[in-house]
This record gives sequence, C-alpha cells and structure tokens, in this order.
Amino acid sequence: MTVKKYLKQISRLFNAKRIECENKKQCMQKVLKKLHKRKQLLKKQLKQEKSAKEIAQLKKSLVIVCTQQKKGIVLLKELRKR
Amino acid sequence: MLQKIVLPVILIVLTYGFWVSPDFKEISAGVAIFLFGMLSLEDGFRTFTGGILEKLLHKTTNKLWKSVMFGIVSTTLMQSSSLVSVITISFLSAGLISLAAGIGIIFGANLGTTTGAWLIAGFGLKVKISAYAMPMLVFGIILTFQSSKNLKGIGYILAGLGFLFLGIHYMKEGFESFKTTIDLAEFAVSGYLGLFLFCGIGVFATVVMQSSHATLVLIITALAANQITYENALALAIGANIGTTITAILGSVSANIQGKRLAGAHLIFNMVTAIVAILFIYQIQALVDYLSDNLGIATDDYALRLAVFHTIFNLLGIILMLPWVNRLVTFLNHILSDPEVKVIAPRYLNDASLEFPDTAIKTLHKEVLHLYDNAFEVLAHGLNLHRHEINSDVDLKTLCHPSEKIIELNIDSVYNTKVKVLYSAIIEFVSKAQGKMSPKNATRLFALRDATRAIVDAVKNVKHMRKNLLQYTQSDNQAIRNEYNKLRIQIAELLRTLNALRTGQDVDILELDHSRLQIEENDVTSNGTLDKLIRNQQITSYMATSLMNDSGYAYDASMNLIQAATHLFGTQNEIEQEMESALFLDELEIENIAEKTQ
Repeated sequence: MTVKKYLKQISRLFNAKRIECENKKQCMQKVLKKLHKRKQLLKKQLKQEKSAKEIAQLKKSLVIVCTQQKKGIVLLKELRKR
Repeated sequence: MLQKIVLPVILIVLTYGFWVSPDFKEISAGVAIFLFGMLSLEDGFRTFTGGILEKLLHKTTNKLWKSVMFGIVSTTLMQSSSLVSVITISFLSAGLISLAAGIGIIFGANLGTTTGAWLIAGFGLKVKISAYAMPMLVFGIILTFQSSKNLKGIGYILAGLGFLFLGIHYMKEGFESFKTTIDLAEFAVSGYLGLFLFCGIGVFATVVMQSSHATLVLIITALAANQITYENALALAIGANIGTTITAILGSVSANIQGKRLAGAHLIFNMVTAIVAILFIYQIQALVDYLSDNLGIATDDYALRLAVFHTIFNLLGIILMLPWVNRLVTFLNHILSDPEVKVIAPRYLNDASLEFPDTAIKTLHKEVLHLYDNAFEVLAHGLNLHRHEINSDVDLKTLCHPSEKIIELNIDSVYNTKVKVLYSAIIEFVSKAQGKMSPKNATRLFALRDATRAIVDAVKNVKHMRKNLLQYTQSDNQAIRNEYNKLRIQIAELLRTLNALRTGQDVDILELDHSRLQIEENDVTSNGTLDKLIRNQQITSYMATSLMNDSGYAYDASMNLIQAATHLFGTQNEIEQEMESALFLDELEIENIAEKTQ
C-alpha cells in the first residue's frame, strides 16, 4: 500500500494524467470497473473482519456498491443500444 | 518584535522594584493575585454558560430597569460596588450577559454602594465581606477537585473571589505606608479649586485603601475633627466614587473586549456624575440640606448628611445617564472595537481569466477549494474540534469528553471574514463568466457555484447548532451529551472522508453514498432515538426540541458537504463525472437500503 501511495505521489508530481475515457460508454465502463474492484475489496474485508459492528458496516457498503453496479449495468446497456 | 523587547524590560523593572521596595513587591503581588482571581472567576462563570445561571441572569437583566435593580440589590448585599463591578465584568467576559445589561448593573451598583454610607453613618457599621475570603479560597479549591462540572464551576468562582480579596488585601498592605501621608488639613483650599483638589484626593485615597467605604470613614473622621470643610468632604466623596472604578479597570485587564468596554462605561458614568456633581455642588448641597432638615437629621450630623449626599449624587448620575445607555454602548463599541480579524481575500479569481473559459473554470475550482479550506476551519472549530484532530486517525469518540476545552470562536465574525467574502467574490465571478461560456463549460460553472452555496450552507447550519452543542456537550446529562457528541462525530467523520477524497487517498466519490446512508440512519427524529429518550425521561422536552432542531442542522450540513464534494473532489473529466453522478443513489434507494440493513 505504501508503494502504491508513493507511486501516486510521484505521478502527481510529474502531472502524469491517467488515461481518460472519451465517451459515455467508455466512462461508464471505467466507473463499473472501479465499482467491481471495490466490491471485491469489500468481500475480502468482510471475510477477514471479526467485529460485528464493522461487519454490519461492510455489508451496508456492499449493498450500496451492488445497487450502484446494477444501475450502471442498466445504463451501459442503454448506451450500447444507441 | 515589540513583545520581545517589552516583556524582558517589564521583568527587569519588576525585579529591580522588588529588590528596592518591599511595598512595591506587596502591591505587585496583590495585583497579580487579583488578576489570577479574575481569571478563575471567569472560568467559573464560563462553566455555567447556557445553564441555570445564564437563564437566571437573562431573566433578571433582560430589561434595563431590571439590571439596575440587580446592581442595587447585589451591591447592598455584598457592600462592595467594586466586587459587583468585577463580577459583572466576569459575567460579560463569559458571555452570560449583554453589555447594556452590564452597564445597568454598574449603574445600580453605584446606587447600591450608597447604602454603605448609610450603614456607616447610621450605625457606625462597616460590613467586611473580605472576612470570608479565606474560607472561600479553601472551599473553592476543594470544590475544584470534584468531578461534577457544576461543583467545579462553583469552586472556581469561590476560589476566584477568595483570590480577589486576597489580592486587594495585599494591595492595601502595600499601600499602607502611603496612607499615613494623607493629611487632609494640609490641602484645605476654598472654592472650585479646592473641590477639584479634594476630589483628586478622594480618588487617590480610594485607590490606596481599595475601598470607597474606607474613604468615607476617613472623610467622616476628618469632618468630625474639623480638618476639612463640609464642601471639601463632599468633593472627597465624589472622588471616592471615581476611585472605586480603579478596581474594575484593573479587573478588566484580564477580561475580553466586552469586559474592557464595561470598565470604560463604569469610568465614564462615575466621571460624568462627578463632573456634574462638582459643577452643581452648591445646588446639590442645598437639596441635601433641605432633605436632611425634613428627615430630621441634625445640622451637625455630617455623617448622615454625607450619606444623603452620596445617595443623591449617584441617583442624579443614574437619572442623567440612563437615557444614554444605548448611545454609550455604541460609543464604547466604536472606541474599543473588536480586535481586527484579517479578511481573507480571493486568492485565485481575476478578471483576466474570464477571457479564457477553461482557465476561468480552473481558477474558479481553485477558489472554491480555497473557500472549502476556510469553511473546514470554521466547521471544525464550530464543532469544537481541531482540524488536525479531524485529519488524523484518532478515534473521534475519544476526543469528545465533558472536560474538553472550548475553542474560542466568534463564528459570525469568522463567517463574515473567511467565508462570506469569498462567497461573494465567487458569485460575482460566476455572474461575469457565464455569458462567455459554452453550454458544456456553463454546466461546470454552475456546478461549482452550487458547490459554493452548499459549503456556505453547511457553515450556516453548524453556526446555528454551535450554541446548543457547546452547552449540551458539557452537560451533566449523559444522554443529551452523547446525542450531541454523535452529531459532532457524524460531521467530523464526513469531513475526514472528504479530506481523504481530496488528497487522493483510496476513497472513491461513489463511497459518499455510504456516508449518506449513515447520516440517514443517525437522524434521531426518524430512527426513534428521540422518542425513546423522552419516553424514558432521559432528556427533558426542552432538550428534545433543541436536539430535534440541531439534528436537522447536522443532517443538512452533512448533505451540503456531500453535495459540494461531488462537484469538487470527483474526477475533472466531465463525461466521467456525469456517469458517476448517474450512479449516485437517490433518497428512496438510500431509505430502502436503510430499512433492509436495519
């Protein structure tokens, strides 16, 4: 994690831009990718977590991410149809 | 730089003074103890801010006649106008009363102190409240060690009073050597010159003896021994009235600007009264004689006649000054203005950037972030938390405890200087820029304007809840304390998340939906907490209404911040931003999740 943070700082220092999406479809795909990554992370954290309070919070986050993901998939389908 | 020079010079002068004069040492120690007493007294009264004392003071001083009566009664009971003035300064410094109410009390105290003259003249009685100083000090210190906030507050007040008396005692002791130098017969001069001279002596004698009552005793003795004329005695009494303000002026040294204004009001009142009394002394003397004759006071009973005079000229002062109280407040606010707060000017906005829409948007974005930083400071301090605490990993719950120190904050002033100035500049910039923008840029422009408004609204919401928040987070009622601390933690945690978002830590803008869910769940009105607390009689209905309102403010402030963050901290790619916004959950979806996960 520290290495990742360090690299981020360096990239910011050199004003290195991420590859940006150019249209709605690409951008939605990018956002969905991020959501998928977060979902995986939450699932992993949920497996490792022991505290009931934290588990409840993680579950809530997971429900939110799933709902956002569902919305995104519907929107992406619509964008593809156009 | 100046402070670097002045402080060592003062210390050197004091050290030299202590070395050459034991009296000087005693007087300085007296002043130091007195000021320490003032600080302790203020701390004590501050404990009761928002509590019973504030309500009681508000009820007894909300009208001018009531505050005058308060001054008369309290001074009659305490037999010391200086003490009442000093306590009033503490009330004012602690924000318990208004300046106008304070002035009313001081006016009343001036009349109340005349009862001392009656007691001395009528019964030869001199009430020595200072006799209670030592027990006050002992009881006060014992109480400061108690865990109860109220007992601790009372302890600080008692210890403060004890130290005040102890300080006055040392000052008196120090001045003792000067007392023997006052031979009134030496200064016997007739006419107005004599009157002004004796008035000055009265001031000096009262400063030396730290008591106008002691000066009155001196005057009566001198008068009985024919050392001075009756007129001179009257002038001395007038001087004693001015001299008594010195204690209040000394007390205001450690007070805030409001306390200093009150000391100024006290001085002005006593000076004006004195000047009028000297100018019309022969007319007042005739009135005193007329009243004394009708009251059956013997022609040679100067002591009682002096008491009549003392009462009349103070009453005259009140009648003269009472209609001018509001003007006096305005005058004092003008003369002793609040310490200048630096106005934060826009850092990035400039008209040149208006010519280039992309640059204008970037400039505006930076300025709104500047506004957010200022607002963050106001919000953090408004919640009585420090910015570094919010930005750290410290568990916020550990920071919320009843004995935490209150962060001094004039939220209105800070709002005006650090938020409103930027807000106005941003709105002006947006108005100028909108005509030159393409539809795409205009959307971004308006989004940033909305973010600005949301930030300002968040600050206003916290501003509304600050007073109750400070009161209830220091309350002895654990239930209300917990609820208010939850509100603080809710906003502080959100600010922490936003900080992580802003600094590019591993937080995604869409995660703000989780914060929204939490805010929704924390709402005491909808989650049943409020009803439960009332039903179980854990909080009063008065507390409940405050909590209901403030919970609403906290909810709005949090939602405002989230709204601002979505425009400010997300991606700068407009299309990506649009796609992210489309995925944010709406209110209904949040409510559904809240119900499901309960």
